[in-house]
Amino acid sequence: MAKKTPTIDEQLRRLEEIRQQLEAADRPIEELVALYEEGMAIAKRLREHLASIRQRIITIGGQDEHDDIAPPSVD
Amino acid sequence: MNEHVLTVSLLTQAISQVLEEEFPLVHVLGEVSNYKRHQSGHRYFTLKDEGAQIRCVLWRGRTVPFELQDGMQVKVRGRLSVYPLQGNYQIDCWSVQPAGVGDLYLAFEQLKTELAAAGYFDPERKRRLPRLPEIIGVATSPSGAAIRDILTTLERRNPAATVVFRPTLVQGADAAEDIARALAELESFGCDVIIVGRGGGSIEDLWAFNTRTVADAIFRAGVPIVSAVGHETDVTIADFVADVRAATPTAAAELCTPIRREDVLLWLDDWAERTRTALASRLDQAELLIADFLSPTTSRVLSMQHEHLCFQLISTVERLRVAALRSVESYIQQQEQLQSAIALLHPLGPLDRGFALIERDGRILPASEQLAPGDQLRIHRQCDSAIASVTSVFDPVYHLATHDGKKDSHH
Repeated sequence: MAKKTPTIDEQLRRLEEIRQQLEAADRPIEELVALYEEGMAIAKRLREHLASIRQRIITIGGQDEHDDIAPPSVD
Repeated sequence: MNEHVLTVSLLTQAISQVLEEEFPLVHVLGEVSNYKRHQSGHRYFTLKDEGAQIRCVLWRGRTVPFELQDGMQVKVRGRLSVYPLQGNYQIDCWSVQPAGVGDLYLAFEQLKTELAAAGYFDPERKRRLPRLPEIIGVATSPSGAAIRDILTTLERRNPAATVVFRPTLVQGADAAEDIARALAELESFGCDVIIVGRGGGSIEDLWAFNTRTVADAIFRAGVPIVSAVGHETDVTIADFVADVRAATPTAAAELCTPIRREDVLLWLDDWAERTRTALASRLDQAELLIADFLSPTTSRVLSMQHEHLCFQLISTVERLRVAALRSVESYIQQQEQLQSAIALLHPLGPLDRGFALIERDGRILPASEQLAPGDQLRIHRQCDSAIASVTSVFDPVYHLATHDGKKDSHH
């Protein structure tokens, strides 16, 4: 399965990088503002993604292969 | 005498018929001896106890969950058959199971020692689990509590992770092979981590996880494997080979989601806060700098700097002006010198210094012409002129006496 978009972990690492650069503040202010804007966009996207995500279950192998089966009900 | 004579073959055939019909299915407990694995893959051994022994054959293709050894107590399941060529009978085994935990433990220890020597359990080859896996593979039975516990735990902790479930046989003769296949399939699907396991059961139920097949599959896996077999107290070979051993399926799901969704959301809050603060303080600095620029104090400092610059500029201009004046002066001087030089060359110039011009017959007397007594000369000086007569002429020798004489001649 090809992973084209950055993973959550990759995005979090990028945010971490941005925060460190902003805290170091050893760049021109325009660059810092651009970094801040980039980070805020990532954070917003991540938050929305995480808030709305539902568990996805794919069953493979065996005789019948079908996507997104519901998880077994818990009683 | 009516003796009923039989051939060996007929008798053997009759015995065979009786035995096979009488004992189509037997379960026999005994100790293995004379165990031999033939090149063909068939295995032969003798099952014995204190009072008797019986030959056994285990045809190729019939698997046992462990390597048989002489001295092992086993329970065989099979049927009785006769081998006419050698005139003996044997148990045609369908399955061989260790009799009692003691022997299973032996098999377990055998494999454990072997795999440890082969480096299967080396701590250096244990991989760390990803902190936020995108895809989590699960190889376990579709029925039973294990899959349910795993799915609910994963959903509760990190629903962002996709779960790829491969229903897997976890007990019985085919379980080990199926577990190995499941691991390979899940890996090739792109899972970042795989949970393999099952719920609790007897040691026989868990046996697939004590096989070389499963050990090899875990050892070969390209992604981290978390094993979760049985209960906390059950430890299998699979647990030793796996990168991480979880006590239960639920614990395995927790280990695969070390960072929960809430953790990420909290982290994002903290991130936003810290980032905002960092940028704000940097902006404040910049603002202070600008304010400082615009303050009266700064203007004063600025105008002082300006004055200093002006002063520098003025002194530079002054230096240039002085230099220019100097060069104009020296030009004028040169001009004056030139003019006096020109003045010296003027024919009447010498008159200024007391020399006189001599004119004869209305023109300036050239130096090439001789004077003669009786010549009428006109003498021009700066202040006056006179007419004079030449009384005598001397050789043009310049010395004081001559001058004196000449002077005398004028008077």
